[in-house]
Amino acid sequence: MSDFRLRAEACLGAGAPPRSFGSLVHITERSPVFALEIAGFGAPNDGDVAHFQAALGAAPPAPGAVARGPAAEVLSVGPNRWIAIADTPMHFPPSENFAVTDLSSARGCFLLSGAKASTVLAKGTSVDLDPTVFTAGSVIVTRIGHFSAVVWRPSDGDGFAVLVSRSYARSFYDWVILASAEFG
Amino acid sequence: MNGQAFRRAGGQIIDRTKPLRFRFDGKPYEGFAGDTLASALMANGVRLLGRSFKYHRPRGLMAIGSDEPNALITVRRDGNTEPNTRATMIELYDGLEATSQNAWPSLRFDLGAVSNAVSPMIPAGFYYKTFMGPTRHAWMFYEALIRRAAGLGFASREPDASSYSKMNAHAEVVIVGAGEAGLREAHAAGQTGVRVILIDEAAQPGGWLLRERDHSSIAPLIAAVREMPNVTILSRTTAFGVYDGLQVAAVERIQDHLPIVNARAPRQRLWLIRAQRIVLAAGAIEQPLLFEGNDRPGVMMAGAARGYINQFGAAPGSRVVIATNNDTGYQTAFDFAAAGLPVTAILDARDAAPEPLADEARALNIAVVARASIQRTVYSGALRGVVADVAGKSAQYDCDVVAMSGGWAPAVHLSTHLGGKPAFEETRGMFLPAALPSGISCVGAMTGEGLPKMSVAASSAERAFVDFQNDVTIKDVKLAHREGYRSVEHLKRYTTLGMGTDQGKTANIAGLSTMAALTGQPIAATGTTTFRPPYTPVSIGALGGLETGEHLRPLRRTPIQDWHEANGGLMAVSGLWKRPKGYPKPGEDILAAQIREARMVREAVGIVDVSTLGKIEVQGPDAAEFLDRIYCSPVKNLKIGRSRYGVMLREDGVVMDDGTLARLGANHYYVTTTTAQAAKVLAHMEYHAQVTWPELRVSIISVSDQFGAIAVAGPQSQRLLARLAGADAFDDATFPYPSLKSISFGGVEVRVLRASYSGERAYELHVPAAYALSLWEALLEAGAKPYGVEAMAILRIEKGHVAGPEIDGRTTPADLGLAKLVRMDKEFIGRRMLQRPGIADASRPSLVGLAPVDEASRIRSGAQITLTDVGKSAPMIGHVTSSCFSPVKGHPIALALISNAAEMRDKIVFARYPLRNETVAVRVVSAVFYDAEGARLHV
Repeated sequence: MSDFRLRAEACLGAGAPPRSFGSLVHITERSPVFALEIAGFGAPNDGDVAHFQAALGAAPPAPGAVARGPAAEVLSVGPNRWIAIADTPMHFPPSENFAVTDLSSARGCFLLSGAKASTVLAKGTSVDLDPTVFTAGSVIVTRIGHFSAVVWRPSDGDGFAVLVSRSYARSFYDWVILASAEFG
Repeated sequence: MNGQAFRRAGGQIIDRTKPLRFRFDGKPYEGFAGDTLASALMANGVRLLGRSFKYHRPRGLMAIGSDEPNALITVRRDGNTEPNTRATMIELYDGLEATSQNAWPSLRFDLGAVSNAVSPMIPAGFYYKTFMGPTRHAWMFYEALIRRAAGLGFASREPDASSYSKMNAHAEVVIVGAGEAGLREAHAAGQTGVRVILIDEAAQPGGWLLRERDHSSIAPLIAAVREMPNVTILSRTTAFGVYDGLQVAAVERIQDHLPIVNARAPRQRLWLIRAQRIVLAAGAIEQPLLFEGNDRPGVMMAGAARGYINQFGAAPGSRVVIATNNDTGYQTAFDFAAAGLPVTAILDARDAAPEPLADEARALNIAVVARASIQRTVYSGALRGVVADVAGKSAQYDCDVVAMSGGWAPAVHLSTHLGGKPAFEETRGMFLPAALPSGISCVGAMTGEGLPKMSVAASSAERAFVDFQNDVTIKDVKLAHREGYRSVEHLKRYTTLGMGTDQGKTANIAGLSTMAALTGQPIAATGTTTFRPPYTPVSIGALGGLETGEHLRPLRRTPIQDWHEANGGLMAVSGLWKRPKGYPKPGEDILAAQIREARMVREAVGIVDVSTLGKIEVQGPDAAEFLDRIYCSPVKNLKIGRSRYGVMLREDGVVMDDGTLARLGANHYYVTTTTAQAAKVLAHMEYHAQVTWPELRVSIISVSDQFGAIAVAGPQSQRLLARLAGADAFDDATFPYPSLKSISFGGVEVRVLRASYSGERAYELHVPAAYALSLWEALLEAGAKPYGVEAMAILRIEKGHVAGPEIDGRTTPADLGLAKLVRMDKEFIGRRMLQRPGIADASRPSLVGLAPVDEASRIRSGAQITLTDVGKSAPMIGHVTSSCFSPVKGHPIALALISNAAEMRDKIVFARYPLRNETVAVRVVSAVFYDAEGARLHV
């Protein structure tokens, strides 16, 4: 029995396929997705920045910004706090100035696109999502309806990426479906 | 169908090629696209639209917009029913069904009208005088009768069939009101390129200009604004409140004008708009004149009367008397004449009629009478005429419509929501927006621009209505004055003046002017009451938005929940989670299932999903110091790889939560919290890290969602796990109780805690959540069977482990038998307060076990503990916190908190449960019913 392998499940399991509402709203779960939360004990010094950059391929982004490395997107989620997102596992070597926590299983990542994607999100969040305000490469920690979420505009595509806690992911997905219903 | 006898030529916004059928009180009528219910009923000659709130007096239309106080209507039916909607705001659609309110058996013959006859017996303050003091109990008797007789429409008893939505929006400039002033503002702001949102109540922009005989002059401006891509026009949208941070709240009526409601789309949408600048262009509201019978159907506002003619081609009647104290009434006369409707006279209250308006009227053969004011209406089933005082002499004028204008009051409401009171400007006779917060400005009629000077003449007519919707007359205001309720705020509460769905839009000025005259104070000193949101009524549904039904609260799911639901788990709500109570077999009830499952754990092995536990990673050079201050139990001496039970206190010395602490590295801890307190503990830690001890270098990250958790409990747990991950990993020599070890299961590193809630040898497997279901299935395949939270509760009660019912926000460590865990030789949160005499008092209720003397009777959680079983007043010495049937004891057991617990040991007391009239004799025993030595942990 010891030769068995555990299998990973997407956070919605098999029960929630991508959905489209007309051509106006599309929602898909990004899976697999890997996430690391990096917390600095105080503002990073030059050495810390170099360490960070060597690990993730991008320097720590300023508050409200997304940095893009070759393999990972790095989101600023608070003072001296970042979340790195990638399609493959990441390695952040130990450092006495950073606490690193694997959150790959802790978050569901959804991609919302289409002409009404920002309208759907605006039903739940008070963030100004206008493309001239919330520009490509912006990130914000907010609430969407009941749900704590990290929302960003991927720098290489249209629409929004949304990170929510895994245990709330199904409920969040259902909320997006409900909020999108009027569009198709 | 008798046709639309009162439809005239004109009517700029109706489409005569699109007839629409509708019903009012079951009777069929016809109107046109573009009509409101009010205009369509008017065109059909329907004058009686409702009965008044208190006296059930017949009432007709008074206004044309959202200020209408009388014509409150119920529309639609069943789950779509909406009561208390103003007929003036209901756009006609084919098949509309509307019913009148507050009348029985019918609008025309209303038995409730008897209250009009007995009105002297129900003056203002009737409730206060009748149902307070010694006679207050009479309310119990009369409440049902009064509630039936008085009041507004009825809500449907069915669930609301409509859906609602919320929308957040941002704009540099938000303009409220799309009349001429608002449109000009929108055009100017739009030209600067910034985002502009223009909010307007009506179906189309234009405001009062649409009610002019010719409104073509506004069309180019509307077209220009519509063309601006950066200007959003929200029509059919009422801005009902202005809030801190320059937020405007508004309700958009998306489908209320459509025949069939699309349930997938929202019926109404609540907008919360954040602005950099708010421009209020809310216009002005025409005010009534005060005379006896001014509430009779046929008496209406002069501006509204001409609006119906110009906008809808609907004639309010066939012969009109204009009563005015300002120039605007003359326009109404001209518009009636233009529509071919005879004008009996213009009764102008001023000393001299204005020229050239009076000349213009005379040229149209309209009599203009100065120093004339109506004394009373002549009414018998319908309005027949008015009796007026003309320069001291009485004169009668025939008419079936009175178009009155008491002047125009700026709609200052939204300008005051952030606190500024409007100021009374003596020279203009009106309240104007004042003390505006930074970022808010007012334009147009709202600032008095273009409005005639107001002069509200107080009337001596006792039965002149000042508040039509709430049936408040001059007599009521006089009574309030006589009885000392002279402040406008007292006047409002004593008489209900200005309350109701219209919030006194046509009543406040008349009411406070009357009071000012009675007190001899100027109006400025009398002041106004406070205008609060909402400006017009808002559906509760719109405030709820999407978050109703199953979406009222979010639902959290464990990574194994799908399996529980598919495999017979009896799911129960637990906070935001759903957890399996147990897994009853066919023919087995949950009680039998939980006992079977508990026995299985004691005798063999079982697995339970404990993913709901809070899990926190604490990292950093000062992590040990930080946790040492958070927990009252020792932390610093915990060795790497070891774990222990920990307790944390609130600042008042009361236990906040308990859980497991494990040390992963020199600067790295993994702690668990109870399911219920997970968020609170995280916030507690974050607070103290950021606020109390910012100098500590520590990071606190919730990993509750990162790890699924499975407890594997029972004497065969070690053997079961060895089958999956090898026997070496679970050797007691290298993996003693209590400790934490990272062990690979099927290629995935799992944090395994040797901890026990059941008292048996047990392991908690904390596995990255993506793999939790797969690990659960592997454990089942290896021979494990699941148990639910009910069995888990039995196991912990037998063991005397405290949980939520004991850690109830009132108990100290000593109360819970945990005093030996507290290390008073260090500093920790709650330490100082633990030394207070009351907290340290030995007689405080503390934890004991209870067993029924007859070894059979059930002890209920929540039961009161008394020393005797007789008398209602036997003093209570404690209460039962948790109870169950104990499989190992073979009888019911319970945990309880009782006073002087040590002295009570082995004594017989009584568990009384008054709700079921039960009393059970119980013996006070140790709280640990099973394996007090802890030997089972190592079996």
